[in-house]
Amino acid sequence: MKCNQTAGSHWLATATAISLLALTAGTSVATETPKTSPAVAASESAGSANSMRAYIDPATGLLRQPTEEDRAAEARVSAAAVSTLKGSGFTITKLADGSQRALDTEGVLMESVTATRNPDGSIAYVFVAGDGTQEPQAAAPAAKMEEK
Amino acid sequence: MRSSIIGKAVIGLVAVGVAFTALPMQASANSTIIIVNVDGPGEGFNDPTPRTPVGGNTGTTIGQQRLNAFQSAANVWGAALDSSVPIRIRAAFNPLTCTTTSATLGSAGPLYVWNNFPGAGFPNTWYHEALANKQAQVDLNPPGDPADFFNGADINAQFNSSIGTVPGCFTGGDWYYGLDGVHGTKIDLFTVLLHEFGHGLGFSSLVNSGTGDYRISGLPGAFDLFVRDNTINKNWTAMTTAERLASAKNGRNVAWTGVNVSAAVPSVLSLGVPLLRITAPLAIAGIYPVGTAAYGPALNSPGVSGNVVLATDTADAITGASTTNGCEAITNPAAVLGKIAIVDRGGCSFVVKTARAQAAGAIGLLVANNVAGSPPGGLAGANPAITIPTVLITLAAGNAIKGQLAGVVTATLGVDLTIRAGADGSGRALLNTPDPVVPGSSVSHWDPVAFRNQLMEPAINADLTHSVMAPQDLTLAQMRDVGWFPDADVDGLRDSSDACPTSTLGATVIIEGCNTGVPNKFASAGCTITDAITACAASSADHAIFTGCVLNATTRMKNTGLITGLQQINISRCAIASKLP
Repeated sequence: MKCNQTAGSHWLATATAISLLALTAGTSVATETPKTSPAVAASESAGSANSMRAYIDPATGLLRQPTEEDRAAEARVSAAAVSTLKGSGFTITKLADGSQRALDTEGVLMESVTATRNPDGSIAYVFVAGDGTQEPQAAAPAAKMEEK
Repeated sequence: MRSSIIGKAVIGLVAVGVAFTALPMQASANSTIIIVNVDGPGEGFNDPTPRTPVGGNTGTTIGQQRLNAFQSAANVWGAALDSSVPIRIRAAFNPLTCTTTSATLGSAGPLYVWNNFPGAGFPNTWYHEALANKQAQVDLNPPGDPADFFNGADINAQFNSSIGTVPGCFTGGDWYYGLDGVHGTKIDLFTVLLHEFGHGLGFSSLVNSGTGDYRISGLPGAFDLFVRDNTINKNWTAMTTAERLASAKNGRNVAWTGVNVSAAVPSVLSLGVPLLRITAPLAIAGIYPVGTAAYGPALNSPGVSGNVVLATDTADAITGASTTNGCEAITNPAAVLGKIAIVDRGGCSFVVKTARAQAAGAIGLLVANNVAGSPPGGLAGANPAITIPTVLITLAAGNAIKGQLAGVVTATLGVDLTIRAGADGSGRALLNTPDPVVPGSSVSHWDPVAFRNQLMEPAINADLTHSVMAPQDLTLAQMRDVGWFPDADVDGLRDSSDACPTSTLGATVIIEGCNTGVPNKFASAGCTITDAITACAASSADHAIFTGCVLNATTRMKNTGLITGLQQINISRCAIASKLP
């Protein structure tokens, strides 16, 4: 069943939960070869410190035991400094080479576009912050809209 | 009913597997852009509903046409940008919010931003992931990392699958899936995608325009390095948070400082900024910004001049109690005749106000906004019978004018031909900084006063092409500014593949001050005719060898149709007259 997607926040936390649901159900989630980015010495997802991990054999799509490479990657994760700006909408990961990456967990950097049909049949477009699933934000009255 | 995101995400995860095996499509140009289809079977990109091919889109199902449109828009960007790392766009068509008269078309943006990675153009600066990958020359976040739910995607995009398929959703409206821009009254998906992908690739500020704060850990984004406030003459990175907050709504006074955009402005934006100039009384004399109307004659130079008169009408149960909103027949036509009328916004359409003023003999109409804010927006409407110009002015300007009408107020409605529409007096493109701030629209778009109309304005204009580069559009130049590729001579070819990375780009071929009058076209990959002559001078030991070299070069140009025989003679004359080498 398809419904409007209305939850626009906490993608990552949800994603982690979903990953586990899918994995424990034996679902094949990808056909690309799973690999850990050599550039990523640390990674963090919400709640991952105590979360269960699952590994998939890319050839069969079935669960498998972790490899040494997997364990090494996890060790690097544990050793790295991770900071999460709570409520900022971003999860920041500091990597061993000094770089940082920020995941837009709440669609803050997304822009959505809305179309409204004017009485004369023309279409007015409005661009707003977010992925289009948030509550409407106050905005200036649009003079481009035909008035009643 | 609200479904949980979980259900949708499970579908997405499963679909990723499908997408990787069957559906990824790639643009094979300077960059590879991969559309990662995360829709489930039978929906979105996989909707099997039959459709007739349209406008160059050969798909025979809705799903395939959607995917073709996505990939075609991606191909435009792929051909324009350079990156050795594939760009991955996680894409879906989902049922998004809509009513009978409005709909969320879709959304897009970067999933990750990076700073201080190897190869970063600027330190302590956030880069959208696709650009960060390009600069690092390695995929910083490759697919396959089990910790990354988005599986290495750089950009997230979802669009509304209900439009055109679900009764009651944006009734009468539909996506146009054609690739030729001939969308008629439909919504051109291709154009919307180009715009949204542009944001995901780097056309977006990382400053919260509602607070002035940098959104992420106190650091600017690459975009923010090129934003400057012309009122206080400061770049955003040199401002306090309070200054940035004020600047974000300093309408028509915030410019893009990147050299590539500034170099492209003359070939893209037209001369002529619409304005209202008050010449008397001195107390309010000056230039005021205006919003122009989509109907009636365009403003011109020298424009329409005259005294300003308040047009009055009767109150009405339908159009309101106001006797100055111009919605009913004008009750002081003798005063309005031959004058520029002023009325208040509200109560009826803008077209009706103009028709009323025109019927009373006005030569132009000022509509004073009824809410605070600046700059004024445009006026929608259509009526071919309108023959007088109409503009919207701010509430403050309207009050200032009306406050002086006991005396004589004289004004001109016209254009300033010394400034390009959408640029400042220094030729720098202006950013959209309305007051009040419009989150998502402010700053991260060009000023809508720009003309010709631009892809990255906060509106989708019907006359947009599918080009992202000059002379149609400034967006690619903006991408160069933020670091997509160096192009020293701004001829559209990145330096690494430009045979003449520092071309002489004058309008005509000039040899030692002798103007041949011959257009200085590109003769070969990245090299102009002038470059070829300069090369002759550099390689010739004496004047005879130089003139012979020029003759040979121009003969080749003539034989390929680049120049005419007469143009060859003109070039040779100047070459012979010169003292080169």
